[in-house]
Amino acid sequence: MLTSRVSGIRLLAVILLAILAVPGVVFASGEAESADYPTRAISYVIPFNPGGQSDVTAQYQKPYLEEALGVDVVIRHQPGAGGALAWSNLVKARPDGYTITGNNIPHIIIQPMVRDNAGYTTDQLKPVYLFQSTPIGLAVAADSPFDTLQDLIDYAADHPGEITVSGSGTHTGHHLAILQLQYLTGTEFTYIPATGAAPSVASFLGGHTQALMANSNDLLAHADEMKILAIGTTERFRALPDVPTFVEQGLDMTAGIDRGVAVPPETPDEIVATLEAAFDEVSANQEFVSEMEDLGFVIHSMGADEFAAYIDRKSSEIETVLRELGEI
Amino acid sequence: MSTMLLNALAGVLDPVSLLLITLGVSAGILVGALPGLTATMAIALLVPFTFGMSPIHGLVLLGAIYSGAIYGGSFSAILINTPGTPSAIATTFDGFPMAQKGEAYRAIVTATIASVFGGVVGVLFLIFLSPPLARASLSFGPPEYFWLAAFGLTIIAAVSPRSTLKGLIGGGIGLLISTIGIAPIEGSVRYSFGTVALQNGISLIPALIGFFCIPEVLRMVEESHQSGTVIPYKRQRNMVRRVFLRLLRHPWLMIRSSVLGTLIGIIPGAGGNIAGLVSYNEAVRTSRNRDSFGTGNIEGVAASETANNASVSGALIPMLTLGVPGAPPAAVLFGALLLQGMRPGAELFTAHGTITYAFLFSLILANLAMLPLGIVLGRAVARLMQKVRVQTMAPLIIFLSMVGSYSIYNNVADIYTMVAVGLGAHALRKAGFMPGPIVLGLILGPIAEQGLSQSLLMGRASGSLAGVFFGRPISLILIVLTVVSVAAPIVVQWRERHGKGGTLKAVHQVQDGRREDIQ
Amino acid sequence: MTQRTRNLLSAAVLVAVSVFWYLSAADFRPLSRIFPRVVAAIVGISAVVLAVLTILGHGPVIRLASGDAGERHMRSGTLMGALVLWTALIPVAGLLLASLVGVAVMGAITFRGHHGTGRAIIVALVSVGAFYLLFQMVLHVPFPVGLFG
Repeated sequence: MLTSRVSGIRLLAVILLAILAVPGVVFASGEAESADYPTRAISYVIPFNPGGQSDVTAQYQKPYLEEALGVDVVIRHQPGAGGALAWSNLVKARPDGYTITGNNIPHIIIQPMVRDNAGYTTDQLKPVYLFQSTPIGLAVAADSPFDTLQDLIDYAADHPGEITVSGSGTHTGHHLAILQLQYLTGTEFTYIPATGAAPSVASFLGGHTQALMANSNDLLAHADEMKILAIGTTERFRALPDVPTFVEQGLDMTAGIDRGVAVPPETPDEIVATLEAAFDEVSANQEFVSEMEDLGFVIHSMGADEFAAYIDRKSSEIETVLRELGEI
Repeated sequence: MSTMLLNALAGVLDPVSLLLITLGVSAGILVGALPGLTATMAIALLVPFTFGMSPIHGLVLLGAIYSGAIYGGSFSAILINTPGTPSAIATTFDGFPMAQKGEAYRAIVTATIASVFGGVVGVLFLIFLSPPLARASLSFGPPEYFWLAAFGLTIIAAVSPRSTLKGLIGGGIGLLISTIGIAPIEGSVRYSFGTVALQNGISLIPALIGFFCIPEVLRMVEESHQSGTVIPYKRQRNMVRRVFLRLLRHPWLMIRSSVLGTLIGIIPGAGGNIAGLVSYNEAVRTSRNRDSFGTGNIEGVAASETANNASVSGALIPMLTLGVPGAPPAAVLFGALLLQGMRPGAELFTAHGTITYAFLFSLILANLAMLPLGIVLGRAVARLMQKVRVQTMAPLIIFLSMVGSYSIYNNVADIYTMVAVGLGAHALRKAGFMPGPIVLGLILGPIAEQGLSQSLLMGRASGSLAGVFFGRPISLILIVLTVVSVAAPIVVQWRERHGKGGTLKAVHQVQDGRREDIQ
Repeated sequence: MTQRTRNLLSAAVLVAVSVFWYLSAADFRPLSRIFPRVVAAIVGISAVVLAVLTILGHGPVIRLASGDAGERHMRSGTLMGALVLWTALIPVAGLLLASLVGVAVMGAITFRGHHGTGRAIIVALVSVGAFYLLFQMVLHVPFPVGLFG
């Protein structure tokens, strides 16, 4: 009785060992031929929590990407340090194209500027494709005395620091937007950062702050409870046609979160090209585009070179603002 | 309206939905019972699978997983003194001592009945009172969060009956640890010693696992020679009926815990863990024999588990009505709703009413399904624990702790954090600092700091710091609660010392022998 | 070690940590500085109170389970050593291999006097293998690999 049980366990152990060996073999053979890329599942790392906008986009992209690439795409989440955790891991990952990570602007530009050691530098993240952006807008409560952006700026000019503005996080897109506004108008606002978009919107809706910097989706969801004074797009935003842009109101600023993907430094150009083509196919899919636009995203189809140039342009723009306002 | 409700009911009562509820709750219990695998993670893993399902089936499955996982956390809390999910922290305080006395099954049955009760009350709140409660939750601003955290810290007194001073220091240690990483306001990188891994701070769940799991395993091994090597298991007939009747004697405890759980769940940023802790604190504070808490009091388990399951529905209230998720798992559900093309808000209850109400009804069914599933599983697990020797468990628990810490963020550094925290916790325990208060500080630290800094900014902008901190109605209520919570035990002690001091001292001495090491 | 020495030792360590915490905060921006400083001050002062109370003989006494202290410390000492080795092995050999070795070694320590080392190895293979499969195949969470992965 006892011996038979023990030998049963031994047998099980042998079987398990055999199964354990299989993935090792598969890995080894897959590695040898990078020309066939991709031959196995690709990890698509989201540097933020599940349920956020980067995650929602990736979930939508997944089936189309799998079709374009012919392999599984596995979405993994690695939130932490405002995304820096995932990016610092990406620069250490093997440059074989099997790890791609969401690449969010302005995050990847600001973090290395304001932190002594962010774990990565902006140019270490090799850009692949930029597929969407969410414009950022400025709003006040529906019963606020301010009706236009100019009203708000005039008041802030006379009462420096008196207007409180809610937004998500320090050194983030929302924070940058308020810094840009201060820089361009020479005014001072009190920015009150929350731990995320949801708490920041809640804080504003509860009347704890007078104004709100928020992504377009949050503005859309609560449009009837607020007056949206300006939006950070270059032209009027399709989903909010009555809201003027900052540019229209005489301020040379755009504000938004741009989302794309990046691969580790040293990734071969052929692999980048394969991924670029796959993302291009997804972004050309009308079904995908209309799904994304319904959620309030602006769709882009920016390839690797264009994306890299865009990052350079944004970097110098952001550096000026941060330097002038003494943030760095 | 009524046709919508009928359609919703039909949607829930179809065989596929019922099957999904059963599967979802069972899977949720398993995930919840494994330390490190959280409700958030389970839901996030399943969202892609629900993409292809009909909206009702998808949401029914996710809701069932969520409820099951929060409840499942009580299993490991009771059996190995490690909260399977952060929500079950307060369950360890009395659940594990019960298991050590051989009452593991009784504790699990208590947790089950309490979870079902809390869950169902929470859903009823969700169905009938969502809009006004969601509105009210918005009046929680930075000063209120600060005072909520301050009130939460008074729980230290309840979870460290042996020495309030050491409890206080323990809470302080937790708060200190919580300041590691990038500051929430102004973004300074603090105490990271130049490493990237510490920039994000000490991740809560690996820290929880380290604090509770590792010292427990080391203690298990240290003591395995004298105290027998298996956790005893007492058989008892009609356990479910007995526990039910026992809990029936405390209707106020059950009602208060479920209301507290729902309300705390509604507040964005305060989830099941704080709900369980506050509810446990209230149970201790209002009990006539508060000294029995921490030694395996069935009321402690009931208070914690009722509240954390009620908080599931609480967290859904602002998510469904305002689009502001009340807790991380609710945030993932929010993403799932978006993927199904449903926007939170009034529309959910009108245009998408059938789906929304079907989802709410399914939550009631999911909670009811926990009763048979939990009791069958509970009995099986409690019996299994009787057969497995402590010596076999020790290395496996450590392996599970490592896998659990790693899998939350797919981050190897979290394994090192967990081990370092665990060894530190072992040393702290030897010096008389128990994990309960430390973990409390770790959880409440960020909320307190965020509230404090934001309030200071608000005060600076409005020109009146005092007005921000002391001039708001909800803040005043929280301040009064904090003061009462601090003062009550001191007053009681003073009265006892000046009344029947002698006998009390004797009672404490007797309890010294029993209560060692088990908070 | 008596409770008295434990109290004094922990008070000393805590005072040192809080002083360090307080002083390091000098480099932070004002609103990043205030909370750690307040907490460090509270912990430091409480630790001094603990030390004073202990010296005066009123220090809190939290008794831990009694028994053959020497043997217990030996057991938990070896176990802690094994745990540290196991952890150190992860970046070198990967989580899978490190855990196979770790569970087997730790099992061999805890099983002593009850079962043999063979049993520990079998437990390691079965349990670690099962979880590896669950994570790799079902949950799609790849185990971290080491230098040779």
